[in-house]
Amino acid sequence: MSAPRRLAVLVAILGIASASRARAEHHHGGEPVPSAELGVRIAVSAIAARYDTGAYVGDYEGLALAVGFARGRFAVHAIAPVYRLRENGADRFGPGDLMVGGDAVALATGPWMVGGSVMAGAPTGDGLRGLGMGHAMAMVALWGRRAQGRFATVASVGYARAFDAESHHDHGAWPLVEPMNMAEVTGALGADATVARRWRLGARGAIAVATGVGSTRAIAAGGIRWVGARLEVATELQVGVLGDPFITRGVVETSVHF
Amino acid sequence: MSRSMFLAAILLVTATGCPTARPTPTGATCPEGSTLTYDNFGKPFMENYCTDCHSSTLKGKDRHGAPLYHDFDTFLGVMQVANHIDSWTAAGPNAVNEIMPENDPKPSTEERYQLGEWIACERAKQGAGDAGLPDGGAPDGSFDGGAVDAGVAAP
Repeated sequence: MSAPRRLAVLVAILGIASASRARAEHHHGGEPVPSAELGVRIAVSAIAARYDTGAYVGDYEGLALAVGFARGRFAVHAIAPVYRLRENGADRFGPGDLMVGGDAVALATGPWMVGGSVMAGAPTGDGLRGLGMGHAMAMVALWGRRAQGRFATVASVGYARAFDAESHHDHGAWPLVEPMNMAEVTGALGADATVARRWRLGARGAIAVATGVGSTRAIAAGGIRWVGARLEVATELQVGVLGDPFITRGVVETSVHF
Repeated sequence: MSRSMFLAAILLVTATGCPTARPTPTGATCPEGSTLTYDNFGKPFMENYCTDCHSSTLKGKDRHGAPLYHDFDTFLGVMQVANHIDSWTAAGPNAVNEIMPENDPKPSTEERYQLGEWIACERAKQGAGDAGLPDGGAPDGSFDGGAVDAGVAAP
């Protein structure tokens, strides 16, 4: 097996501990694990949440399709969500913001792995109705991971910024489905462990601190993942701790890779 | 790989083809001799087009999506988010905003221009230290004429 292929396999093995790489939650500190994988990965996530921002109260459900490809140290992925959003009694239905991104492993030695990620969002969601930001956005992040035995821990820091030529529209956390400030520093910390053959249990926390107008958000999450040869199924329960990202949110992701 | 790249390309093309209307400040000004007041224009405008959803008496699903604290059944309620109303519903030299109301009945373009004018005139009164408060206004005449609550992106 060549060195790049061994590295890709390593990334894939470590990556399975992720609670849900393709979940449509991009704005809470970035993904706490490298998203690189071997070959092609296709995932569908089902999302359900209840939220209360003070001005808006309701719930939403969503489906997110994620497609990724990895080769050697590099990986790219795209996520396209669609939502049904209920806000103060009104039903909205439509796509969320399209996200595309890439990961690179900078260092992989022993139990350690360090890398970086970039992500960009296109305002395909309705920014006036809470389905999208209404702006393009970009995010960069650095992450590190240590995996030894059945345990793994991961941490990441990042910076995200929305781009808007008409800056009069500075706002707080928005949209309702995937809130983000106009500019924010993000951080995440997570850990997981193999608890049985093919089963991993994990928990994580993530925070986003506005660097200008906006508010700080934080979430905590716990999840379990079943890992098959080519099929994975993950569930995660998320709780809004600070700010108003949501009250509770559940994500179920099914993915295949080949 | 080629299939996944093709799918990604389709998604990117789709991403660039979904424009939505943007709230735009109208730039409306108060002409000398304007006769528009809250009683003869603002209040009936709000009652005709807005307060079926934007009313302090409505709760929960009866608001049909209107955010809380965006209530237009009082003068003060209107002026607290006057910049939102201007950018979403009014017309002026810089924009004709037709985002709100979402459903019928909808104001005519002429009424939207009048709305922009009326808001500009009320702001001018505030700037001159005379809010000219009609029924429903705050006794101290205080309003910011354009508060933007964090986390509230729409009126």
